[in-house]
Amino acid sequence: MNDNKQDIEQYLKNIEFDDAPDHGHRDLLEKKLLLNFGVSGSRQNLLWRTIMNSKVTKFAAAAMIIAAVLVGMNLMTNTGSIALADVLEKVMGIHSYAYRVQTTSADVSDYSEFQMLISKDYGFVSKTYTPDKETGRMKLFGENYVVASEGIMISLIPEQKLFIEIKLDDKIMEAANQALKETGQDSTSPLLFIERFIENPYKELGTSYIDGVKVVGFESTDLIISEDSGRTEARLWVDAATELPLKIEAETYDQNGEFLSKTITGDFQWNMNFTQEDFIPVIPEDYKTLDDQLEFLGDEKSVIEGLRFYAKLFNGKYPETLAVKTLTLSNQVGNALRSGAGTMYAGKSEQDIMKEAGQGCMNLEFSTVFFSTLASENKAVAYYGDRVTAENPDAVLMRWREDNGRYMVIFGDLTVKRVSEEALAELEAMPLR
Amino acid sequence: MNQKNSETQTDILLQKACSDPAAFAKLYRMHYDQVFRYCSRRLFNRHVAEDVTSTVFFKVMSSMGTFKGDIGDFRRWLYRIATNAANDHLRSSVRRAEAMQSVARNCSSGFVLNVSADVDLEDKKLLLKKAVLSLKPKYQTVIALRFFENMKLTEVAEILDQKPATIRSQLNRGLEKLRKKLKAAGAVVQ
Repeated sequence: MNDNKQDIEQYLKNIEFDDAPDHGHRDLLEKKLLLNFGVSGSRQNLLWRTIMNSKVTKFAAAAMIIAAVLVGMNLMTNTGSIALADVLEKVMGIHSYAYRVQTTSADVSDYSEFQMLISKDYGFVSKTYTPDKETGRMKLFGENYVVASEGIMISLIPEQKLFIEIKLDDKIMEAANQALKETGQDSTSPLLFIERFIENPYKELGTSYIDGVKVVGFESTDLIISEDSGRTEARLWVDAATELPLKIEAETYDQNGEFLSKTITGDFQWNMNFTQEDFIPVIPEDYKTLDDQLEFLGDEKSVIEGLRFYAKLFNGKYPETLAVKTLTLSNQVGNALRSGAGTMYAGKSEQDIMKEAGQGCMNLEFSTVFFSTLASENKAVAYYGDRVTAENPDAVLMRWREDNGRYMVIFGDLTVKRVSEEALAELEAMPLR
Repeated sequence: MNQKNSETQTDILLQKACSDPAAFAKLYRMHYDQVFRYCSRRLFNRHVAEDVTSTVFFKVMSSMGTFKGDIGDFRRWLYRIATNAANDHLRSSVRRAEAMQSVARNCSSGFVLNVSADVDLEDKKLLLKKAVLSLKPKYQTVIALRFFENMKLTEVAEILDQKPATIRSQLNRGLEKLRKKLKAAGAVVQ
């Protein structure tokens, strides 16, 4: 290369770049932008984002995050497909790994990135990043740590300088398992994804290259992640040399074919040399805890308090159904808060709002899991939120059969009573007043 | 449609873009390729360029209400935001080192230490990229706008809101530093 200035300029002008735009990225970014178009940075929105990103405090957080751990650690079963079964077996044999997930979700108008660390010895870490409304840059929004040795989960919410510590007792673990079975919420887990690929029809896409790595592709246009979910179109790219996943792309649609979310899982790092310290959060001294303010009851009291919270926000109406996916009711609450229903919080401190809305959402989330648990155990559960409101104090809102054969009834005014089967029949036959 | 009509329609689009998502989307589609290419040429990595392009358009969306001007002003504004976003990215020493390593990985083994006149052209270009990345972001900026985007000095000056003489001076200093770095790396024929 000549040191003549003109020659350097010529070389600069002749540099070739890998700069052909990827219109897939263009389209995805457009969706993200439009989902965020006109979103104000109001306090209520910030509050709601905080609540949502902390996965609605104790219960929902446990349900979502522990589900991921369970999937990652021990819920896998092997099935028939030779090539993918090999991939699954390989992943299951790996003791520790990390990966990154990018999601664009239509129903929460949000784009998020998650950095996951999984270790069979030490636990699980999930860090959530969301775009800053001012700069558009990604910033840390929440951290969740499952410390296996302690049997606890700790969630940090940097923006609020709050943290929550939850003891992972059998009740929460059972509820989390149930949530996983019912909803398949952790659709970003590579293990779950491979298993679903094996269970559903798929075709091989042949070999290709991603970032210079030779990969083998698999595609399913009708992947069923859970029983009550819609359709997912997904492509799984496996490193041809290592037989480990390199990238998973998935678009999920609801049962009406409406777009729900796009997920890209990648940046896998296998067989990481983690230490215990990687799974223990450093909680800054100025963080406050919500532990002493929120209570996970895990019984009918949680259901009653969840319904009471909902009715307060929706003028006496209860959720139409409790047979919904995790976070559905919390999303309704979030939308109501955003549209102004949160005026009942006027004058309250952010901490108080967090406490009340967080506790309310937690109880609502529990209600849905409680309902599905009773249904799966054939406890003759029924819920009439589609027609019973707080203005029908004597009407049966919800009931289920207890072990002694009597029925627990929650009425429209949220009082409870245990009755015989005959008395229940009379109560349910009464016209609404 | 003649050019004047087209410009008028684009100006209308600009006025609507802060409140009308369809107008913003159209504007976005008109400029995505340009921004992405510029980011790619600044960062030498398409994945990082995609991230920075995202940052740019989120910034554009959040600041659209403050923008006043015609389509020419908008393009300059877009370049300014993209320049700031790219420089912000490069100011992190760790990221800069990563970018240089990424480029270096593509260089032929031993090239940096043993360069002669018959060195492959591609390797020279890769070494040049690495040398550009090692410059301060302000020099990278003027070099990229001038040579990678093929802009005139006056256009670069407008984007960076400086006098053309200042830009000329920065460009000369940048090229001189580049020359020295290349010489130090053994890539210059003595």
